Amino acid sequence: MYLSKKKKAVSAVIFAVIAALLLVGIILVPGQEKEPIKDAMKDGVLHETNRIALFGSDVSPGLISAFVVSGLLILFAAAVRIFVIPRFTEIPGGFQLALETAVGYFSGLARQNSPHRNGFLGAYVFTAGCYVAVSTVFELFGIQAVTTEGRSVSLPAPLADINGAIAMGVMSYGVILISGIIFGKARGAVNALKDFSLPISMSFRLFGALLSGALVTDLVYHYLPLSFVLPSVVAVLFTLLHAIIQTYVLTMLVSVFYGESTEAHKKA
Amino acid sequence: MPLNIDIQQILLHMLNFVILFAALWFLLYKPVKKFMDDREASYKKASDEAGEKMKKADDALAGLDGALEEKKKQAEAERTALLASAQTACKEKLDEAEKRAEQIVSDARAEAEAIRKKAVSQSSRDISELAVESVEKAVMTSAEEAFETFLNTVEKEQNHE
Repeated sequence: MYLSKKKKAVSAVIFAVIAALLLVGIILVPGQEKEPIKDAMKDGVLHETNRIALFGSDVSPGLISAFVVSGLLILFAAAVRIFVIPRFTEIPGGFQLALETAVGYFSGLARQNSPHRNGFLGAYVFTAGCYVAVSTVFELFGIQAVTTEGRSVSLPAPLADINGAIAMGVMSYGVILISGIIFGKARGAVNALKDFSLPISMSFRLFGALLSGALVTDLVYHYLPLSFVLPSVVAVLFTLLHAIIQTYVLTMLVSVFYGESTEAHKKA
Repeated sequence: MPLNIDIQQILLHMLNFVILFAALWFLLYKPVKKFMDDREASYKKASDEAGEKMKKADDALAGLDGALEEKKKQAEAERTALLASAQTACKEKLDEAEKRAEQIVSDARAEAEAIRKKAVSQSSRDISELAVESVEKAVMTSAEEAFETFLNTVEKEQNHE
């Protein structure tokens, strides 16, 4: 359907007037009292002020985000298992192809880095990859939660919480260490133990990368003049790219170190 | 703790991830991987079967090539044998022809010799007869002339008397 030049001009004028009115309204109407940027930044790192009540104890919003993300992923997996997988065909359609590509990528990553033992590793890096990617993108949705002080906060990425990042790093190192002991015996254990800095580096890499994105996003959203156009660029740079990069880095590191620690050594 | 690190929350994050891991493994990763592996296995099986059939076809072709080669060798041997046989037969025929030719020549020579001898004999006989006849003729002519002369002489003498 094509519009005439006159109709196009009228539509453009109406659109511009509405946008200008909204802009004036945003500027003139007083907003909710905001916490200072310094406090917001500090809370973004430490999660000391804005805490959420959970079963009688106060937890950081990152933990709530982790539960929500996991719940969504489990619901998604159950729905796929019940409704999609039984209808898989020899020649895959679009959604089946996406699932097969994801599973194939992570199982291939595991097989490539740990050719001898990779069944468990494939499942682990698949889960870790899905969790890191989805939980990083999760902050874009801006799901709100109410803090113990009655303030509304947007749920952050779970791994932007230091506790979530440490849990991820330590658990990945645990998988590498335990698999090294089981499959690589003493040599595998030594291989894993000599990289004792791995859990710290993994944890703080995740934490630093995701926190930096969260802080920049907070900073941008905090000031009204920066809230137009710029958020879309920031969201892509600090959220979508972080999701891809951190997923790749974490799963790659876990695969490589897992492969080293469980490697079968032949006697010379 | 520094940086607001909380062991309890770390453990809660871990529990959350373990539950997520178990759920995703059994609900998503394992069934999709199994489907992909089964499909790959079926494709590999089909590929192996096709390879096996191809190998059989190649073997059959190689067998046919061998049989063809064998037949070629047999045909070559038969050709060589036939050629040798034909050469032998030809040589025999040639020898026989040569012998027959020699015989014909020999017979012709003998016949020619006989004819020559016969001719010579006949010629001698004819010559002898001719000679006798000539002599007889000559003798008869001389006698007649002598007798004539005698008669003439006698007559002359009678006339003179």
